[in-house]
Amino acid sequence: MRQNTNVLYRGALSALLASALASGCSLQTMAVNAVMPTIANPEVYLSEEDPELIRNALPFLLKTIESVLETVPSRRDALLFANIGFLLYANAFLQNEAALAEWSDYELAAELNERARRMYLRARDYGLRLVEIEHPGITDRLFEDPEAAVMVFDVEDVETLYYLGGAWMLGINLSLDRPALVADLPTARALLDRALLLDESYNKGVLHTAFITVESVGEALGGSYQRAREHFDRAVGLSEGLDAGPYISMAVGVSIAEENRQEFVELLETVLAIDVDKDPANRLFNVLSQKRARMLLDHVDDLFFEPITEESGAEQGVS
Amino acid sequence: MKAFRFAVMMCVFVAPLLLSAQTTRLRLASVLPVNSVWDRSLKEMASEWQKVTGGRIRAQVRTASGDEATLVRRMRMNNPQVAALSPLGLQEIDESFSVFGIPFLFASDEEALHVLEALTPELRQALARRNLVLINWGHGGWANIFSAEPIETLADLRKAKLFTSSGDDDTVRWYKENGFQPVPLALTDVLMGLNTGLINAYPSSPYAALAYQWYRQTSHMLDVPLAPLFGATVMTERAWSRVSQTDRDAILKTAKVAQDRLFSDVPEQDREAVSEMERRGLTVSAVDEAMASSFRNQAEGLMASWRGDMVPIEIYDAAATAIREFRAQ
Repeated sequence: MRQNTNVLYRGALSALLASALASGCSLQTMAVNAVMPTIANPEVYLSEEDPELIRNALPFLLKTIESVLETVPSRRDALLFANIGFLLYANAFLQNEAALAEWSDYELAAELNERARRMYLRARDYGLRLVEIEHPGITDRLFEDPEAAVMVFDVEDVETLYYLGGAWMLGINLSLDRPALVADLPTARALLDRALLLDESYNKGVLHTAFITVESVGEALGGSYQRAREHFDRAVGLSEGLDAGPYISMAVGVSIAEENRQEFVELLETVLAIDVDKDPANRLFNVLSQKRARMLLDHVDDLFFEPITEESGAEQGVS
Repeated sequence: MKAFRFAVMMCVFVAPLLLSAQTTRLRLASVLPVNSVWDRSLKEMASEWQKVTGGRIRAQVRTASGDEATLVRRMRMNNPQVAALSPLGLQEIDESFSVFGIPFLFASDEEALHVLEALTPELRQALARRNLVLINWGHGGWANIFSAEPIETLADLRKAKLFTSSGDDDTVRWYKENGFQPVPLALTDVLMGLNTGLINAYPSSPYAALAYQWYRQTSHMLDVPLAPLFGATVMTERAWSRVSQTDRDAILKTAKVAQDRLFSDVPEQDREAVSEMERRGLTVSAVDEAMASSFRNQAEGLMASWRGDMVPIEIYDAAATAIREFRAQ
């Protein structure tokens, strides 16, 4: 009986190997196929209530995903997860911590921002590898004529465009001292523009939230605070007020620029009032946003200047 | 009695410690983009101030909303106490700073730097008259002429619809009197102006032309530098008076390090910007030294009209003397 089992086992293994070899598939690939859907599930991470748990878990997972991509370089779900994961780690943790550090330690903030910058670009590169699978040569075309190149994408690509464009845009934002990356701004913008055009309601309005920030760059750079407000209204509507993202983006991007302290405070108090359990899929970002809102409210006096009164400074003689 | 003596001892020994540990908090504002080379320079400098003064000086770098005229007005209220200003902001304070805006006056970075150093005592005085203290100089690169059509002569430049900053009436008048077609616009309207054809040429540093994406509508750059964009970090006299001499020395020393780094990094950043724009279709109208010199000579006659009209006579003459000295070396 035991011998029969061994024979059966060996037979099954041989058949499996033969099948794998016939299909050009290695054992490593088979293992990847078995495990990937389980480990690369962004929802498990985005719904977590404890940011520290995710901060500690993500690096290991991201390196695992990179190992997977060493074995299967064109695996779509792994490429997408690598794009999302590095973007998440850079944005939710490194850049967020840099923003906190800026109040007391510029050196630490600079180190964290530099790490975030590099991870955004790594996230972008995985996103580019992903779009290259369906559209070979798209990377070169995105550099040459971004507005024309993005026309190949359709509604199924919106998720990819959102994460690719987002990582690129955030990477550029931390690279304004590097002309080679600043030059890519139209490309990142074109990817997000295309995504918004294809499905403006994607993921409860996250594209509109991204555009609050995009439009907050100032009018000289082609932005518009008015358009930022329109995106804010739409993002809040689509998320039914359960996503802290639009409120934070509006407070930081528009209220500060327009010196509207009252609006700034009201927006952040709204963030703190959001019940993070009402939208579990967005719990992690809402928890992090509430932490950031508290930090911003603590520093409200540093963020806003007093209104100008000619009398109070006349004796200073600065003209 | 013992308790009383203890209290006196506390006053004698602890009070000086408390005094020396007193922290002066400064707000350092600019309208410069966050994460730009200038913003990073300010943050590094602020960080150094804290270190070299043992924490007695803590400067918080803030991006100010609005324009530099507003920022200068805010300094009247001593908030912010420190500001990093571009040439536009400095010209709001004193017209002496307009000397660096005279088109085609300077032939090179080295020449402009020589003049900057020569004029520093006078410019420091100009700031002092407004109760401001010069902390260091800044560098915004060099303005070049970008245009939709190639510009290689002054006659070409006169044909162009040229962007000039709105509010700078003297410059607009000067351009008109000398046969140019200036179009005054707010900086925020340049992109719209280029898209609608309201303007087809503008002076800008290569980095700004790239960052603002203006170069996508203007595929030509004249390789004759128009003017250096020298800025400065200034502090209110009121804040400066509260800083000890030791800390003042430390602040100025680290500010000079930051200045030297900017004067190296910014020109390099502009070279990279030109290279990136060339890769994306910009044509640089390279002119040889003879043509550049001819361009400057033709312009020289026009520029003399700035003397006394837009730049104080003594500053203009001091700059002219410094240029002659430099060229004689």
